[in-house]
Amino acid sequence: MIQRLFLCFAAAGLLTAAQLPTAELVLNRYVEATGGAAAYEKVKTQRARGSLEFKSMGLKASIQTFAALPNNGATVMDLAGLGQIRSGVKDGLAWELSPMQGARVLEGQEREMALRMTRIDAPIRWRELYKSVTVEAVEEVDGRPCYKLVAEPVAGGKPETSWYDTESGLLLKSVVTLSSPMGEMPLETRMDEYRDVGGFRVPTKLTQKAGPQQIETIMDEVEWNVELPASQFDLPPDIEALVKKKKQAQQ
Amino acid sequence: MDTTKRLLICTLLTSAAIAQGANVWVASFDQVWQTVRERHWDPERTGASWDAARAELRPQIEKAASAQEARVILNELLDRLGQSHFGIIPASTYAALEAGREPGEATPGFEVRMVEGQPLVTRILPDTAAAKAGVKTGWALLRVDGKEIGPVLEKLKDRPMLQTILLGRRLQGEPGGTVEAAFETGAGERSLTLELATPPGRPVRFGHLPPLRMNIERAEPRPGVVHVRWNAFFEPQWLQDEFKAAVEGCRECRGMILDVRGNGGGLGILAPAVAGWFLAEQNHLGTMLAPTGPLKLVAFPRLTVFSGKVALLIDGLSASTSEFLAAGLKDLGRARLFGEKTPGMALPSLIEPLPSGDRFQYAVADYVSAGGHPVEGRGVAPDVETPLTRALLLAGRDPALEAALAWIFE
Repeated sequence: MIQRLFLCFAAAGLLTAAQLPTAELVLNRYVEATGGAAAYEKVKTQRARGSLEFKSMGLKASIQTFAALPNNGATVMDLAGLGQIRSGVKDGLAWELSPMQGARVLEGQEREMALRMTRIDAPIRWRELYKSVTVEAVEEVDGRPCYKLVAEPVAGGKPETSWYDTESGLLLKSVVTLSSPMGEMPLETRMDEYRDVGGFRVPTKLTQKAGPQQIETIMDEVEWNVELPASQFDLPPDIEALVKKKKQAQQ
Repeated sequence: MDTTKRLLICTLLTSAAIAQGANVWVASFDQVWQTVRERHWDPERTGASWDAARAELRPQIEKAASAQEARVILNELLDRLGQSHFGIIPASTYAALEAGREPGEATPGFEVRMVEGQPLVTRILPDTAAAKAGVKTGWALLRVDGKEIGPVLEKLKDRPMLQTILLGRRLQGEPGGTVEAAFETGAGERSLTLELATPPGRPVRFGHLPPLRMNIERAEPRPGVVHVRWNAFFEPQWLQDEFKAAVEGCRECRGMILDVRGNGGGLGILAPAVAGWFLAEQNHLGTMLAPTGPLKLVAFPRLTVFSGKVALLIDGLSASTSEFLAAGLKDLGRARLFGEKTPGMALPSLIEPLPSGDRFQYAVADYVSAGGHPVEGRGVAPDVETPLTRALLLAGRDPALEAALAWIFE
C-alpha cells in the first residue's frame, strides 16, 4: 500500500492553464510538505507494517512491505481465511504467489504498475516514470479544494489522476486503473490521517474502492533506511521454478 | 456451553435488535434497498419495479411486530429480484461463533437429499453412528425425534435446495447427543437412536459468512483414477495442498474425478484456482459482468498440471462457485460432466452487516461462462445425465461415479 501511495506521489509536469500552477510546482510543494527533497534524496530503503480490512466482506489482513533502491520490493499479506499472498519486484521481474492463483510472473501493464509502485524514489524521480503530467483543474475532495493532476506513464497504460490539497500541499486522493489478465478495474484511494513519522509526513489511513470492495488500510509503522537482509527480495522457489519453466518453453 | 446458555444468547441477540425499536429494521430495509439500487448490474431490475417494491413494503416494515416478521418483509423485498444470492441471514446464525463455540454441528453421519420427491439417504460417512447402525443409502427419512418431516418439506416443495438444507439441520445437534431417526427402508419401517459426532473436516470462518464446516476427501476408486470430493470452496491453501498431492501423486493416471455434488460454493476465485491444475495454458472460466466492467475468472496453470481425462460430478446442489467450475471446464472442453443439472445459482456476492444485527447477502455481478452462456436461473447441464433414483441408491450404486469411471476407461 505504501508503495502504491508513492506511485500516486509521483505525478508532475506541465503548466496547462494560466490560473493553475504547474504540476511541477504542485509536486515540489508536496515533497516539501511531506519531508523535503533533501530527506527524500537520502532514502535508500523502506519498511512498513499495518493492517487492512475488506469492509464489505469483514475480511482482515496484516501487511508488510519492503522496498529498496533501485527498484526492489516485496509485500507479504496474511489474510484470515485466505492465507498468505506474497508479491514482489526484483531486477525488473514482477511476481505474485498466492494459494488462489499459484505462482505468477506479471506481464504487460500489470508488471509496469508493479514496477512503478516499488519505486520509493518516485516523489523526486517522477520524470523517469511519467512522460507527461498536467494540472487539469481545481476540484474539491471532502470539501477541500485540490489540484487535479493527470499523469501519463512512460510505460503506457491508462492515465493516473491525483488530487493535492491547494492549502497543505498534501495528496488527498488518487485514481488509477488496475490492469491484470482478469481485466481492468479503477482503484480509488483516499489518504487520511497524515502523521509525522521518521522525518516524513505520511498518511496512516488509506481507504480504497475497487469495484464493490472497500478496503481500509491502517499503517502502524513506517521506517526508512532500515537495514534489510540481502535475501529480502529473493524469488520464492515456486517463482524461480516458473521462470525456469517459461524460459524452457521459449527455447 | 449448554443448550440453555446458547438459547439465552440467541434470544438476547434477537431481543436486543427488537429492543432498539423498529428503527433498526427500517434502517436495515433502507440499507438493503439502497445497496441493491446502487450496486445491482441490471437497471431493469432496480428501476420502477424496485421503487414500487419500496413503496409497498417500507410501510409494512415500519409496523413489523417482531424480528421474524421484519425478516420476512426484507426477504420478500429481495425475492422481487428473482435471483439467487440475495437474502437476509439472521444474527442467531452467528451466535455459536460469537459464543466461542466451534461452528459446524454434530451429525449422525449420513446425508439426506430430495430424490424423486422423497428425503432419501444418499451417503453414509464411514466410522459414524449411522455406518455402525447399518443405515443404508436409499432409506427414506420419515421422522426426526418423533416429528414428521413431510409437512415441512411440503411447505418448501418448490425449493429442493432449501429442503435439503432443512433436512440436514434437523439432524444436527450437540456432539455426544443423540437423534432418533425413523426410516422407511424399502422393507418396512425402522427407527434408530444415533449418537451425534462432529463431522470430518475443518471449521471455516470467513468474514461475514455464516460458520460452516468444510471437508476434502481423496480416494482411488480404481487404480489409475483419483477421486477428489469437497463440499465448499474455502480454505484456499488446504484445497491447493490437496490438489497438489492429487496431481503430483497421479502424473501417470488415466483420469481424475472432481466431485462437487452437494457443494454449494464459496469463494468464486477458487473455481479458477482449482481449474489451474488441469489447464496447460492460461484461460478463463467465464466473465463476471459487474457495473464497473467485466472481469474474467482467469485460471493460471500450476507448475504441475494434470493432463489426463477429467470428469466432473455435479448435482442439483452444486451451486455458485461449483457452477463456475463446471460451466467453465465444460465450455473449455477440459472436463466431461456427469450427474444432474446444477441449480443455476451462480452470482458472485458479498455479505454485509445490517443495523439489525442480521447480515445481508447480495450479488454484485452477473456471470456468463467461458462460452458466453448465462448460468443464473438456468444451471449447468451435464454431458452425461445420470439421474439418481431410489432403486439405484437401495442397490448401493452411484450412477454418476460409475459413468465417469466407464468414460475414463473407454
